[in-house]
Amino acid sequence: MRVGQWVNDLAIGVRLAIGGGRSAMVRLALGTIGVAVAVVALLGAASTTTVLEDSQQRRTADELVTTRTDGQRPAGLYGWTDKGSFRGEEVVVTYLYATAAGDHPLPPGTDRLPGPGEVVLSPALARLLDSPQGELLRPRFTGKRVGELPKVVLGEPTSLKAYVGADASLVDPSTSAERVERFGVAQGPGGGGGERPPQLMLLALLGAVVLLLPVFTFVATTARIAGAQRDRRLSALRLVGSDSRQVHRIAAAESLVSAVAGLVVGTAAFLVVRELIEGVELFGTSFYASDLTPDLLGASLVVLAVPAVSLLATLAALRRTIVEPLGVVRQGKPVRRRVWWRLLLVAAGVGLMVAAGSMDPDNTDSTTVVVLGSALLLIGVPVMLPWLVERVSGRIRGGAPSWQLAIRRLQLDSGTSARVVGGIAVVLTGAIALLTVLTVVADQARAEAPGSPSSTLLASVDAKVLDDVLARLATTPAVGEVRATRLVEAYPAGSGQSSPDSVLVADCAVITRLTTTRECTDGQAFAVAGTVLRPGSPAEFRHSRGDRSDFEVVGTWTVPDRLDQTELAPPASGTAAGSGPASSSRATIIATPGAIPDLPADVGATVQAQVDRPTADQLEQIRNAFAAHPWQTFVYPGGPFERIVEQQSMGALQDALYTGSTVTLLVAGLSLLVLAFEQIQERRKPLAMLVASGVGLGVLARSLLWQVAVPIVLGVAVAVLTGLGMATLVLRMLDLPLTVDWPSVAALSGGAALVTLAVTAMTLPFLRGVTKVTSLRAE
Amino acid sequence: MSIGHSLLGLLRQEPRHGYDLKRAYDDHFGQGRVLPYGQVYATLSRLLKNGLIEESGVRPGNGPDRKRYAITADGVTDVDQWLGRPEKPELYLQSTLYSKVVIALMAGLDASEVVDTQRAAHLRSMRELTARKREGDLADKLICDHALFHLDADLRWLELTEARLADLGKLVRP
Amino acid sequence: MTGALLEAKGVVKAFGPTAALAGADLAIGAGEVVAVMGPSGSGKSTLLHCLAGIIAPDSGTVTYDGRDLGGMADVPRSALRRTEFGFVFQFGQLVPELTCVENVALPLRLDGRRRRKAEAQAREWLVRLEVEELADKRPGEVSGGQGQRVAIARALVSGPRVIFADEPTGALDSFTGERVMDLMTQAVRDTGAAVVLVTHEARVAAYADREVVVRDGRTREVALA
Repeated sequence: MRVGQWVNDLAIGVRLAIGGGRSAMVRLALGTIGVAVAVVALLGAASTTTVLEDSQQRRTADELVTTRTDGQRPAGLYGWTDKGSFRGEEVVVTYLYATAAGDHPLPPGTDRLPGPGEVVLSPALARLLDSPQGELLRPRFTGKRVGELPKVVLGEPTSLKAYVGADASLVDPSTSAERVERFGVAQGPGGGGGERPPQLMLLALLGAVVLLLPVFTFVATTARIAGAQRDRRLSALRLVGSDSRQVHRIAAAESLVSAVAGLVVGTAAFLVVRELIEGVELFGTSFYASDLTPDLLGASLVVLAVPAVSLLATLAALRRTIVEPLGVVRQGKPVRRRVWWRLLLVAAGVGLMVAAGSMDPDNTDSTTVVVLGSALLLIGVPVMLPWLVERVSGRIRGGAPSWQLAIRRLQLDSGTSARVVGGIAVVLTGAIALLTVLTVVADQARAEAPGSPSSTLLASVDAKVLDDVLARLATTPAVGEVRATRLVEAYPAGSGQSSPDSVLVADCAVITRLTTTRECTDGQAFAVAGTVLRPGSPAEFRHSRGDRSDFEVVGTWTVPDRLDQTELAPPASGTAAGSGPASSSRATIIATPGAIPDLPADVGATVQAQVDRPTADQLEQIRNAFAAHPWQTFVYPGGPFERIVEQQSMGALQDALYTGSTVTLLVAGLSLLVLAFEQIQERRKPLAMLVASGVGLGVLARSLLWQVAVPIVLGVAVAVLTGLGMATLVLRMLDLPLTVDWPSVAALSGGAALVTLAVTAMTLPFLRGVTKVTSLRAE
Repeated sequence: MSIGHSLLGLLRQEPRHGYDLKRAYDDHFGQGRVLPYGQVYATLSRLLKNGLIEESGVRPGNGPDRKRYAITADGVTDVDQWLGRPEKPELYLQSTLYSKVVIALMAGLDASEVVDTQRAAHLRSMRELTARKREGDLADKLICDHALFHLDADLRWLELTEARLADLGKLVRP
Repeated sequence: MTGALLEAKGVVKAFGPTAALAGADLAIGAGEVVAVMGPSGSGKSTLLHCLAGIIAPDSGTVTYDGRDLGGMADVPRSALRRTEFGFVFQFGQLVPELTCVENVALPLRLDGRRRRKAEAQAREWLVRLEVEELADKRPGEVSGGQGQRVAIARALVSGPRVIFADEPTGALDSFTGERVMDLMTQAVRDTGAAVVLVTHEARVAAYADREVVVRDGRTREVALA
């Protein structure tokens, strides 16, 4: 009997939710859409680990697993992967050459390798090359396209990746290419990149809270749609004799209907969205549909959490009101919102962050304290906002009729809109705080970088192509002085274990700049302090096979009879001459090419070039100067490309921030929309009455706008203040000054304002429909 | 419509001279028509004769208006009985009912009791009419409706009057 | 009156500083139709709510069939409303989402009756109140008088012993109101239920067996000779 009664009550609740005439259908639709949007967002969030793991797995699926071969290279497949960039985007190119046809490993998803002069491109790279934007990239991919890279080796649909068929020169001992055993994950199994540090997990957790808080707020708001109507309905049920527990069951069943419907619709929408979203690039990230697969735990959490939140919100709403047969007694109504515990929360947050400021910034504990403090501050935003909205709207008097209507409405019930706006404000606060800190830290790093904005480019170049590269650099814009040097170790012939001289080979133009010597002719050689070899003695070049005693002689040299003494000039500031792989400071002998005719071919050259204020295009042209000999040159990522690297890592953080904020802002905007629809729906009659008695639609539209705008303006104000406050506290810890990136702050705040406007605009047709005088007749 | 009970009611409030009595009557119940002196004194002498009022003092000087009248205990009983007795629910009772309400208010009595008593009497008639309607034919129904609406109107008017005069009571009985 | 089915004794009820009832007494016998009259704000609706156990009096007692409503918990009190009492109010008592027949069946279903059975019974009552054609319409689609008849059907469907009617014709014109009163009193006579009929209209009160006047929170009964 008890069970039957329960089933009966739930059936009544379900019946109330569905098929209850037009307004009930609108209510159900709004609720369903609301939950569905949240479900899409949550399923997306639950897919994060899959996205990261899957794309990481694909990205590393064709890494070259190689064996090192010294000296003589056995037959087989050789390859080398270059991770370069084009306009800040990573371009990964793998050069491959098989010395003989036959059995060699294939990258996953491919059945043949590109032969010499052939390329296999990722679809995004092919598109880029065909577009006008790809013009400067084209010189790097001149080969014949023989296929497309399969998805299994592309991290994202927009990954720029290529396999290029190299020629036999790839196998030269002087290149970085190595013998490919197989394609696959190079470093150990898992490919996850190791354990994440706990602070990072904490930060990620905080980010998730900030971004998901509005989503759950949204679900809760949705559950309260048409609360007044529901209360009336429930009190009618009380009158005919349902006890309060029955009413709770009925209300719960009712809210579960839209929650479950939303879950179903949301899941369906998610499946559609993930197909549509494939290949769409959003802030530098893109997804494959299959990446957007929530993991089992996440999916089950969504399936359980959404109805649970919806249910709890309904029951919480009922807890604050007592549904009686004669109507609803609102307990919370006359009670003013209290401010002390809200302030306490914020004060605790500020306190923790100030306390963290006096701790050692490298300490794990201080990071934890900062994260806790900022979490409290962030939670403080939606907590303070209802109080603030109530206070401010309570103070406002008078004004135009539209303004008055809006303010009075807010005075009557500011909680709902404040809750929704609170969701927006949290995102905004977090985004502003993080953005400000990021900007300051990035500026600081830039300011500390020496010699900017002009800088030195550093590259290794195979001796065989050095002349060609130098010729190309000579015609490349923004490139100033170029120095090419080669460094080789020369051992006293047959000396066994004695230490070598480092011989720096450069032409006279370079030597006169590197040393104090002013007069130089080809064929000359110079001794710097600490020279081992004596003039005229025989020397040999060696290839080490492991340790010093195990070597092979690859060339001989007779030291010139005359070694003039010279000294290295102190390195000019702003050049990388004092460091790097071909440091001239290690040289003990400096020789002109004429003085050392039989230098082994595999002794590479180091090219240093002064680059003066390059534009983005010029940077690509500089790269192209080397790109004619891809595996015979290597451009170090520092120097003029430093900014790109930095921007890439900074950008990744900012991208994630912008992606999250945008999605959340959209969700919050949708919840505002649902709220606005619901308010119009619920006040259909008075609105129609106002229009019938001659109040213009414009006045009502403006009043709707104010109703949303006032809490939004307050929310944005609180978010900007709190966000900048948080940034200040964090920066104080790092001993950095506060500089505000006002355009970004304005853009974020503007986004929120735009959402408000869009929401109001979207409700207008609905308002027009509702306020037709005919709706006075309904019910 | 009883002038005797009305005058008696006015005297129940306080002793008055004949002229004051006439003025008070004209003010409250005259409805634009004044009560002739002759009728006032004829009624007063009848009340004196029945022992419902008595002379309570004489003003010095001449003229008929020297005497002051006061209500006797019998008179008070008589008025209260009148007030407590519902009028037969007939049409156009208003002046009598009105007088009763005013007198009750002036006498400091509960005028609502007059209304309640009258309502009970009216309702009894209305119940009978309602019952008759149930069994009767169309003609009966129409006739009963007419009577019901008029009785209803009487009662409503009476209730309204009571409500209005309760406000006015402060004026009538300062 | 002893042996009363429903009896209020010295009921006092205040809402904030204003006293709605200041010691009201009323006894209703089985099958008796009692009109509760009085001006607006006199406390007559409050008296009805106290009698029906919807609100609890501050002091005084309300007993139904020998049981004290004041000392009863919410669950049995709700069950009482569902099975022993019926309600007809001026408006707003029907659930707008449900069709008329579902509305009438509601008390039965809340009591755990199966849907099919409950709705069959509800349909019978719609027939008795001559509104069977409205069964599958929603309250929003029917007129005021029709809605009241549906409400009466719902009040009577569970076979209650007391019907509480608060201004049941308040929103209706004379003719429609009369039809509603005729049908209600007829149905009540058939089932033997008692009625507490709150009204300020004498023509409606004339359907009752006797009337009680509430004035300033107190009841008064006039016994005519």
